Amino acid sequence: MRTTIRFNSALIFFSFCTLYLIILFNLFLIQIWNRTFFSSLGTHQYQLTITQLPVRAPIYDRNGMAQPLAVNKECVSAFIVPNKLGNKETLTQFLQEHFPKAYKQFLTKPNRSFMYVKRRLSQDEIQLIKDAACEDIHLLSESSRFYPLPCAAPIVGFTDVDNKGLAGIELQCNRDLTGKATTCYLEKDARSGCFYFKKELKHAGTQSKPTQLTIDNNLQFLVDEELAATMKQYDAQEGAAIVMDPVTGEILSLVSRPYDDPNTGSFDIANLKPRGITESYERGSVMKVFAALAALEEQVVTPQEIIDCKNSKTCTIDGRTINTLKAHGRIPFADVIAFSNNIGIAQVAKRLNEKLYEHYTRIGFGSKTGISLPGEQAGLINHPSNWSKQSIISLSYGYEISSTLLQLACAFSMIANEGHPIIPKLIIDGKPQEIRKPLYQPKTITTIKDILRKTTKYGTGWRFQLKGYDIMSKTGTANLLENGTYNQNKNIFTCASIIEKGPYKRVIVSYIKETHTPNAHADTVAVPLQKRIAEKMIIHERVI
Amino acid sequence: MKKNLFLSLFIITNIGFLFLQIRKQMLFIKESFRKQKHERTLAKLEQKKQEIEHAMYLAQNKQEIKQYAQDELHMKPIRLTQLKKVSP
Repeated sequence: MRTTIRFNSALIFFSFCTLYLIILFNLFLIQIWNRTFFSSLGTHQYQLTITQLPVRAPIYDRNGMAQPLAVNKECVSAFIVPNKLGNKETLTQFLQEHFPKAYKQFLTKPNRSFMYVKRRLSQDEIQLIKDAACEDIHLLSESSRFYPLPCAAPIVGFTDVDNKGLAGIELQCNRDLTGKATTCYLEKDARSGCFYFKKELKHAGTQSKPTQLTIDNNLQFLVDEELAATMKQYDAQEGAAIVMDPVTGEILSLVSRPYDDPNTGSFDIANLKPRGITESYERGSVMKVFAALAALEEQVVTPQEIIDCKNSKTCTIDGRTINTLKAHGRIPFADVIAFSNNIGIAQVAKRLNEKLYEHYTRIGFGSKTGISLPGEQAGLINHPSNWSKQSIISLSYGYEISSTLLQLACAFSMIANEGHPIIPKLIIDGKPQEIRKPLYQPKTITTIKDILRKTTKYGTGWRFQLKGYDIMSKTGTANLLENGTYNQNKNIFTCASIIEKGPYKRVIVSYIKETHTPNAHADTVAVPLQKRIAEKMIIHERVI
Repeated sequence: MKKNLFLSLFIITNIGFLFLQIRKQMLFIKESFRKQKHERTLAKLEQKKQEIEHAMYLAQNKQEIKQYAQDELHMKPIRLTQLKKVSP
């Protein structure tokens, strides 16, 4: 009996000892032998390092938060985890049928740990995935951009699927709009993974900063409407308009057409260019203003000097044929500009010779304006070293010199601003416009302003008269260069003007390119557009 | 006797502190979870706010507003010549 008890006790003792030994052995395996493996497994389950980008900041117009030009909206993306698929057959069949691109991508690397099926899904696509009830396709909510005013898209630009700025202000201010990512260390609960016990900041990021533009949302819409109407009326290929404050240099409206709506997702990048900045053209007679400005400054002519315009539409100077729209006889120099006579201005320009080039560069043609928008063109002026006998004649009425609409706006702003040049502004940064040395004497500026008034009163800009407002304008019709020759049937119609009423000053410049209307000229195409823009602007800004 | 009493008090105090420490940790985790729940609610509400804002911006389409004003309210665009300034 006693032996049995002893035996049983020993058996129990040894059984427990064996069990303890097994436990100890397992503990040895877990804690010492496979320490690295289990340690990393635990770390993987409990610890997490997350990097969070701040929400992309909005872009506002000059009126602030009430009028955003770019905001965020939630969109849905679909993804799969190829190396953890439940039902591979159903998934491949679904992808092949509805998302062939993703299917092809899936076949290239079927064992990857993550793959997007499609980003920024449409409502129909979301419904399709939900209806399919495919357990392997997961939906993810992401942030994307929304542009409430599509006509501002050429300025505002757009972002890619990762919300990184690709064009316009979105690109220019990408760093501020994005902010810097914050990295945190989390100890989460391994079971649900929804909560964390500890959150430790590893790297502090910076908040994204909104950008405020000088653009006026409502004015942008009104100008765009007028531009669209004119382009439709004349069946034009392209057009642009800029409204600017010549004192502060702030651009209130910068419209270009045609443009695509970036909200649609499928758009042509070429149609999202701010053409007033990215396209430089020979502008024609509108450049006579600056040839006249140079001649008056150099005192090679006076406004009253009588110029013989040969009373003909065609004339030959130094063996070069010059054509002009209307024949004029002996008229004062001021009227040469007002009536836009090519023969008259060519004769005066010859007195300037190479100095004309110096004046054009002094005004800012041939170099960038300094606006904070990517893609700006500098334009081109034919250098005197490349001049032919024709060059000085062509340069006097706007050929052999190409410029952007913005350069033209800046040049007119300089005149409106009593000769002080300005740097155009598109972003409100709180810094005032630096007052720079005037480029021209006050007397020259006063004279050129008087000539521009005459142009509006009885010259080529006569259609642009607004009672109670001081309007100074100039038009330009230029043939477009095609395969090395000027095409008489393809024109660009430009108009630039200064509108003043007391301290109120605005510069409007616009162009319409390639109309399908025969015998069209800037005074019939661009001037009425300019007048309608001015009317809308005056009513909008309540300068009555 | 005194020695026993001191020992008992020492052990009880330590157990008490241990209990308080555990309780504190529990409360901290509980509150942390509550905070995280609120954070999730906030994120959801932010998302909803963004959706509503998006709908508002869609409704503020200037072209549609103009169309509505002209078609439904029979309003007409005003010309500068139609305006009269009344001096005070």
